[in-house]
Amino acid sequence: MRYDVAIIGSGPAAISAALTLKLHNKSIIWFGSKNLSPKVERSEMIANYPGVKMVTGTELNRLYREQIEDAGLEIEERQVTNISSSRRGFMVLGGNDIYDAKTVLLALGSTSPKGFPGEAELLGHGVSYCATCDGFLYPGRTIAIFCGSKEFEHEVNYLAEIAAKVYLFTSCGEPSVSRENIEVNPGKLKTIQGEEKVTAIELTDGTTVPVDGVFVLRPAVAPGMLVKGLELNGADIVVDRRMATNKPGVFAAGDCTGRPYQLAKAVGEGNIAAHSIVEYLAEKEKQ
Amino acid sequence: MAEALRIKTRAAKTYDYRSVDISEYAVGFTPDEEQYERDLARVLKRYGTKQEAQIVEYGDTVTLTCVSELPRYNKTGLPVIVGKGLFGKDIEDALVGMRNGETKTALVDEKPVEITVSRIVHTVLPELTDENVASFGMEGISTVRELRRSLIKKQVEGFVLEDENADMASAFIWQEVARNSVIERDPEEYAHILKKAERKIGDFAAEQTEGMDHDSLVNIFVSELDLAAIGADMMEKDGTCLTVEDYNSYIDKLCEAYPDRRREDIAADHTVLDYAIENFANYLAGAIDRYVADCFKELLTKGI
Amino acid sequence: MSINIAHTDTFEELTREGFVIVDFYSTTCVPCKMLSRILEDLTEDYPFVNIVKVNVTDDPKLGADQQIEAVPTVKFMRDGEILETVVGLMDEDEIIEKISEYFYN
Repeated sequence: MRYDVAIIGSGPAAISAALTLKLHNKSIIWFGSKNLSPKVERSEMIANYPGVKMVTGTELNRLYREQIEDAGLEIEERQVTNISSSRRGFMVLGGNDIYDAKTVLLALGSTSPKGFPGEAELLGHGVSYCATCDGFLYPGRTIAIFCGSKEFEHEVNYLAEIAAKVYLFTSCGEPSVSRENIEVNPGKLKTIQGEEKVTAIELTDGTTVPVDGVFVLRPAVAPGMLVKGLELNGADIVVDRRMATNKPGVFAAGDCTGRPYQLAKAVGEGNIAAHSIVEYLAEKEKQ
Repeated sequence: MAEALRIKTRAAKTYDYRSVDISEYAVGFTPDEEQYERDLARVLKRYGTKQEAQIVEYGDTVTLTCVSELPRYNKTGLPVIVGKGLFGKDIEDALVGMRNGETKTALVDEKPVEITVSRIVHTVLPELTDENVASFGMEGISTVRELRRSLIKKQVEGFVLEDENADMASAFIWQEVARNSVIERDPEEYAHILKKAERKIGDFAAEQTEGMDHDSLVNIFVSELDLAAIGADMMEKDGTCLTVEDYNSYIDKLCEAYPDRRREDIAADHTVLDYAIENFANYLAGAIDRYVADCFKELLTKGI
Repeated sequence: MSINIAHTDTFEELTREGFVIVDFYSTTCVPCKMLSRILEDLTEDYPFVNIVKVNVTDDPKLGADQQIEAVPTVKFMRDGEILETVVGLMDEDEIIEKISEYFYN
C-alpha cells in the first residue's frame, strides 16, 4: 500500500508532525525508536516549553508516548537506509522491506555520523553499507566490519558465514556473535586504505590490517546519503519556511534543519511540515 | 543418463499441502488504484492501434531531422516521443501542430534549430469496453472486470513477496504437512540430522530462538528431513530429479569460492546427504510458496 | 522495449545492438529491487530503451568479467559500448537524464 507520508525519526519534530497528520486522516508509516528521542530523555529539566512547567526529559517522553498511543499511532523500529524517488512517489527502505509513500518527512535529529577517512572515496569499491547486497562478493575472503549498533548482529553473522575471516569493530559494547571466524578487535578503526579498491584498514594504534572489504553498519544514516541530491548547508538540511527541501515531496523538521536545537522549535517545525504535507498531497490529488 | 540422488527416508503417507486452509492469512491488502490506472494505461497502449498521422500531437512518436550548431540537435532520423521531455522540452513543444514533412525553425537555448518531421506515429487508445478487451486476446480475459482482476492480481504477487502473513502462511502449511504425514525415517539419515542439529543450534542468534526450547529447535531440522522425503516424491512425480552432477557442480562452486580449502574438506562439510535433503525440501518449499501466492491472489481479489 | 535476463553466454548478444541499460543485482539485495522497479516503470515510456538484468549471485563469473564491485550497479550501453557505469541507487529523474544524454548525444 502507498502511505501518504513516511516519517523518519521519533523526536519532538516527528511527534508533532505525526499528531497533526493523524488529525488530518493521513496514512502514516513512522520509523524510529519506541524510546523516542534520547536527546529529550537526557534533558534534566526543560524550563522553556510553553504550557509545561519544569518537566524532566524522561517525564516528557512518557507524556509523548501516551499521546502517541492515544492517537493510535505506531512507530516501526526499523533502520531506514535509503529513500528513492520515482513517478510512484518514494520508496523507503526500512530494514529489509520497501515501503511506498507519497511524501517523506525527515526528522532525523542532529547527530550526523562522520565517516571514516577513505569511506566515502571507496564506497562501492570495497566499502559497503549493505551486508545483504554486497556480502556475495566476499566468499572465503577477509573483511572488516564496523558495527555501530546491536541491531546489526544478524548482518554480522550473515557476513561471517560467507567470509573466511572477519575483523569486528564495535561502538556498542560486546556483541553477542559467536562464530569462530570473527575476531573482535579491541582497537579502534581509524582509516580505510586503498587506491582504487580497499586494501587495508588502519587502526588508532598505528597497525595496518590487510582486508578485502569493509562493511560499515551504522544505526543513523547521514541525510545526504539517505536522499540523493538533498540540499545541505554543512550538516543541516536546507528548508524553506514551509519546511520543504529542494526535493519535491521531501520535507524536514527539527534539529536536522539546524539551530537552535530547542524543543519548541522542533515541535513548531514539525507542525508546519505537517501542514505543508497536507497541502502538497491535496495539490497532487488535483493533478 | 545422469545418476539420480535419492534419500532412504520415505513418505509412507503424504498430507497434501493444498488441503491446508490459509484464508485467515490473506489480509491487509488494498489495491493501489494509481498503480492500477498506470497498468491499465499500459495495456491500452499496447493494444492501441498505431496509425501514421499527419499532424503532431503530444504523445506521438515522430521521426525527426535537426540541423543546428548544437551537436545534439544536428542529426537525422531521431525517434522522439513528444511531451516526455527526454529529447528537450523546447523542441518537443515546437513539434506540436507540425505537419508530416514540414520544416520549421525552433529555438533551443536561444539558438536556432531547423527541425523537419519525416514521420508521425499516433497511437489510438481503445475504449475500455468488454468488446474491446475481448479483442485483445489476452488469455483468460474477455471483460473489463476480468482485466481489472488480473491487474490487481499482479499487485498481489508483489504484495505476497513482502508480506509477513504470506511467510507465516507458508510456515503454517509446512508445519501441517510435517505433522500429518507419515514418514519412515531411515535410522542413519535421522542420526545424521540430529548431529547436524546439535552443531547448528549454537549458531542461532538469541532473538531467533526466543521462546523455543531445545526440542523445538531440533524439530526444525528433523522436519526438514521429513519434508525432503515428500519433496523427493514430488520431484519424481513431476518427472525431474537431483543428480550426482548437480551435487558436483555445487561442490565446484564452493571450491571456487574457497580456493584455500581442499575439495575433500569442503565435501566433508557439505555431504551428498545434506545437499539432497536441502534441495528436496526446497523443492517442496517452492511449491508451497507458489500455492500461497495463488491462494492469496484468489482470496484477495474475490470482490473485484 | 524489452526486459531480458542475461547469463554469461547471452550477455554479448543482448547488449550488442541498440541502447541498453544493464541492471546488475544480487538475489538478496533489497535496494536492487527498488532500482529494478524504477527501471521497469521507465521502459514503458521509452520503447527504444531495453533493459538487461544480470543476477550476480547466480552468475558470479559474468559479474566478475564486468568488474562488478557492489550492487546495484547500472551500465548504460549503446551498440555494445559501455557509456557509463553507476554504482548505487539512482532516482528516476537521474536515470531519465542519463537516457536523454546518452541516447541523443
